[in-house]
Amino acid sequence: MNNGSLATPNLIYGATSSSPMRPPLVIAAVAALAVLGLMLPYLVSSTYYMNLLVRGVILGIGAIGLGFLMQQCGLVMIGVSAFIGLPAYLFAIGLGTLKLTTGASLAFAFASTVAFAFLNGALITRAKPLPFAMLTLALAQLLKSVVLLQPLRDIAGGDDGLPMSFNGSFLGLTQEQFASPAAMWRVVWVSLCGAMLVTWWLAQSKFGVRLRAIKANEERMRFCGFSTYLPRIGAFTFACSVMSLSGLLLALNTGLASPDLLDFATGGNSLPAMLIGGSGTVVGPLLGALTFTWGQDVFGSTGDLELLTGLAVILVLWMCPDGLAGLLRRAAGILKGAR
Amino acid sequence: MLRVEQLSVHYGSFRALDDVSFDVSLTGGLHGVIGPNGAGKSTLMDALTGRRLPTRGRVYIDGTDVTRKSVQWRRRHGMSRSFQRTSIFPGHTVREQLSLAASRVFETNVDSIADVMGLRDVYDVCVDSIAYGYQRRVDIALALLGKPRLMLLDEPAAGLTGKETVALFEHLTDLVKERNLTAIVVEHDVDAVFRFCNSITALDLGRVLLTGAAHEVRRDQRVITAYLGSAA
Repeated sequence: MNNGSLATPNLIYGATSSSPMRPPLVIAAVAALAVLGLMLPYLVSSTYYMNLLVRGVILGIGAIGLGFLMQQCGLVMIGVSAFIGLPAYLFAIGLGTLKLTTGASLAFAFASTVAFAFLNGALITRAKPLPFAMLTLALAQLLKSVVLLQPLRDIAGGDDGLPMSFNGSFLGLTQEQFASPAAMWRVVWVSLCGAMLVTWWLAQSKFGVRLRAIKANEERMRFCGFSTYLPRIGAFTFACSVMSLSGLLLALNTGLASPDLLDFATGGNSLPAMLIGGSGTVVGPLLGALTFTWGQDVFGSTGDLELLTGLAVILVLWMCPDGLAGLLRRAAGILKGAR
Repeated sequence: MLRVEQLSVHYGSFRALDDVSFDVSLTGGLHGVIGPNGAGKSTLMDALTGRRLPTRGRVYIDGTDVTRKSVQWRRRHGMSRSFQRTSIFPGHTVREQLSLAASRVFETNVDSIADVMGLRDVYDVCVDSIAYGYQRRVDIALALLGKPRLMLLDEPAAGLTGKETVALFEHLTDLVKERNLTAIVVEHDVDAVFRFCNSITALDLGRVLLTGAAHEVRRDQRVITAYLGSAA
């Protein structure tokens, strides 16, 4: 019997491919990319641009989680900020209220967020795509309201948020080093490579095949004897855990959990980033996030940030409906045809 | 034995199925369900397979009440179905979707199902680009995986030509014999049903007119009046 998988998302090009990249090749490519990426601080001397890259990659990790959910399940999550802000707050609570070490606090925040995502997934993944999107937004707004509650001010810090004071070093880095773009770059880069590899592997696995089959024809999957509910909860939990990694990296870098992290606009940036890059690939959301961060920097200096961002997003999506990754795929196709 | 007892499906005040009762022996063979438009054939199919919960009544298989069992449970316990509108996984090859579905029902010989359904020619072709007749076969092949005892086919010949319909029913007749499988076939083409089905249930306005052998149903005055008219 042939156990050939349903069309698999390609790491680099294309939404799907009948001849997906082989795992050893992907692992080797990611390992080479990881090593090369670690050298970047030696090439980019500007702290400003290193900081921009750090922020772009952190946004990109969140967008990868978002893209996974969209590509595998056809679900768009508007309330990404819930899973960026929540781990940041839990990390701060772990450090402050619970007096945990930095590493233990990170583990506590990550595990709690994943558990929270699982419970939420059980409640909201039964919804159709549009209500699902709105429910995630409601969840983010709910969390933001909770951290602003006056009775919780001692724990959540109210409008001021929670400034963090790390209890000891983590991975040999102190709080000051995490705030330095050059040192932080290595952490976010390794996290990015790990997130991309796991996301790609999961999309390639039988689990990924089932998710895409559920997306293609949920009723037929049920009549083939498959549960369509549990895999969606699993996909949602995984996507949220990738997003929470992004939130934790942001918290490590800034040392602050603020209500702004739970604001729609925070997570809202992940959506255009994913769309600009293209959700059909693992790399697309990262490309989109880097482009988006660069665009924000350029447009921000003109004073017309929102106007120019809006125009640029419309223009990019009009010119490349499949995002930048789709554009690269087309370019690669043209080059291949020319040979 | 499939036993349907006083099965009713109501949509508000409209009774799509009303007190439907009949038995089908699960010893292999084709059982047809006929009736004019609006008779409740597809609703019956949905209620039997768990796609729609009945308002009242029970469905038993070998004495086990399956009325409220999930469609997944039914599939794993030998009840499968195909759909009136071809239900397959777009964007994937025939082989890929059969392999995927096979993994859940412990089917180890996907290739033989492809052979049985005559799908070898299009095995590695994306299902979107194969002829409609082949797509119907893929739909039935998905229902055949895992050696089901009872297969429900909702208008398997919909959209096929007369010749293709006859070929499909000949194929199904061989299949149920070879696999000791019982297939309940809802079908508009009454000629094919009378020609190939061992027994038939005739429905009209959500009620059972008659269940019996093909020749009995064909001669019954109620069936003639309700459905066949001058064609009989």
